Amino acid sequence: MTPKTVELIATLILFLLVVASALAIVGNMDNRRQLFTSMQMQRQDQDRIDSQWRQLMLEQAALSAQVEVDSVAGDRLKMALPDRQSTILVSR
Amino acid sequence: MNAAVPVINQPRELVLRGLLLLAVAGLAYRAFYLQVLQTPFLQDKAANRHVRVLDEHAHRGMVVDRNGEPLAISTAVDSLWADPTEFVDAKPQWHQLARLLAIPDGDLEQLIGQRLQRRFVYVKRRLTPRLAQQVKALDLPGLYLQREYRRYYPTGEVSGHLLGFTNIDDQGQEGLELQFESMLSGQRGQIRVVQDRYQRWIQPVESLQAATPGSDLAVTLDKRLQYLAYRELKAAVHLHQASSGSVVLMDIPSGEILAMVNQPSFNPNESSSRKPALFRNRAVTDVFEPGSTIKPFIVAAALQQGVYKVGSRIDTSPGEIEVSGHKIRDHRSLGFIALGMEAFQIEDLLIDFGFGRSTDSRLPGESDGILVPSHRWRKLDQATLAFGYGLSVTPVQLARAYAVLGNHGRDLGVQIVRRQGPDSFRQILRPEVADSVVSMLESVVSPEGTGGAAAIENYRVAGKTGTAHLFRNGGYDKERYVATFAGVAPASSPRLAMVVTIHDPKGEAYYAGDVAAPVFARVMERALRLLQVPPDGDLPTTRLSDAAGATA
Repeated sequence: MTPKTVELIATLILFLLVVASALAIVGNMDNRRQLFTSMQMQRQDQDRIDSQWRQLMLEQAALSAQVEVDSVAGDRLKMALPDRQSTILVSR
Repeated sequence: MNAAVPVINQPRELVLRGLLLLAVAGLAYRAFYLQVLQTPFLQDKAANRHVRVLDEHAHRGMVVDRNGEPLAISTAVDSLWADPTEFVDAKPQWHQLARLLAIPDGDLEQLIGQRLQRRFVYVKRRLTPRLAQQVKALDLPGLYLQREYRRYYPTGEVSGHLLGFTNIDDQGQEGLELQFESMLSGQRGQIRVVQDRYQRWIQPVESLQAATPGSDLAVTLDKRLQYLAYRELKAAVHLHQASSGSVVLMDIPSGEILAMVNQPSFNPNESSSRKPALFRNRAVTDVFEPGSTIKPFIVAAALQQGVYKVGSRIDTSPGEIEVSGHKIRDHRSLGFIALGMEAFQIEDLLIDFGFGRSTDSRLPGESDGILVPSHRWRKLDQATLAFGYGLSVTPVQLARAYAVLGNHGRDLGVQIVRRQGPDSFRQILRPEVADSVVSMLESVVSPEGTGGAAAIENYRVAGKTGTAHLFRNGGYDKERYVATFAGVAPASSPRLAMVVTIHDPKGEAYYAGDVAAPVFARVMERALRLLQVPPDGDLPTTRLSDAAGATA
């Protein structure tokens, strides 16, 4: 092969590489955008679920409030503290 | 090769030129089409969407109690706004919306009617998610929802002073919310998005900086005890028509605050009930003269210095002492004990116990209290100090000092947020001195003592009452008092220290034994049970092996 042919082949290969990398950039950009959009959507989902969880925490806090527990135990379940006469201390 | 004029195939050249021309013409038409014919449409499109950089919300951290129960949570809420230029088309349905929002028809009409030229009017801020869904379901034109965040305090007025609250932008304004603002608030992020003209997202483009949510803050409070203390304090303040009151409950082995409540209070959930005068966390900001509750420390100083021993007899006849021309009624000998020591000996110990300087609780607005340096004491001051006059303390200082007595003389400081690393302590009193003071205090809480009302079933209690005249306008008010009860339980191995202070009770009763001690008893009894502290009182006892045999 003459040096000229070698140069030609090398140029051709480099040209192909440039085209390939240009296409790869475009492809990656698009991929990135899609991934980012989907991440953003998942983040919104996370936000929504998180909000719901916080709401449920509040609800649970309201239901487990001392006043509530007291009234359920005393009024509905008729629970009472054992008095002194009916208490025996168990020691080791 | 010959250098002939290239005679090219004529028809081929023509075709090629024609195609090129056609392409140019096509491009020119496209340009004309876009630039001229479509201009209004495209400009409209461009105006409708633009790239903007938006702040990304960082969730504010929760405040939780020692068991992970929420005390403050930020949740997403929706604010309802209208674009009147569009919303006016929905006028027939306005009354539906008004009914849903529970506002009078007229108000809505006025709100929108007066702002027809505007493009943005808040209709109602911070709807509950359920209500927001219902409004959305109406599907009215020109009505939009905007995401906002709101802080909820499940314990409401019970913990308002301690937690504080946030403003409309979710920034801490008072209390722990303010103190730990940087930790709770997190870091806002930034995001580049394509938006339409209603500021709705069309597409996110890129994240410039991710938002970091705030960290949760775990405080040492126990929500159950907090409720309990608040309920009893509120009842007592109401019953005795007192002007204010505080309860501080501490865990002795760790120095952690389990409950800290005040009256009067405010509900941090309602901005309308937030009156600055009510924000003060009196348990740390307000000082009072401790009265007799200071006596154990004078006795402890005397025992520690070896001035007296347990069992020493002190001649106090004729029941009063005369100092600098003043006669002090002193049938319990405290003045003698105080005068039997050098001033600095008392001062040193009081300083060791943390009087005269704020604790390490890191609560905002904490007061130092007042302890006059001993070189400025006159003899009279030294004697009256033993009765708890002439120095001022905060409830939390007093609780800490009693915790030291109950902890065999070890001081662990005060914690409201759990400290990292192992507990370190200072030994302030010899263990046997602290223990003997506690056992002396047990006699106060007996039917014969002033604090009989602080006694509880199944547990032994050690504590001290203190009724002091209120210092007002440069003198002591003979008619007005501050009633305090401070103590520890169970006395055999103290687990909890508690201080109850009630200011200016206006009813018949004003003695601490009648006003503060019952609150102590009610809170302490249930607190010991909730924390499953084994009873040390006089109970029928059986050994574990016998009990197992009995149930088998």
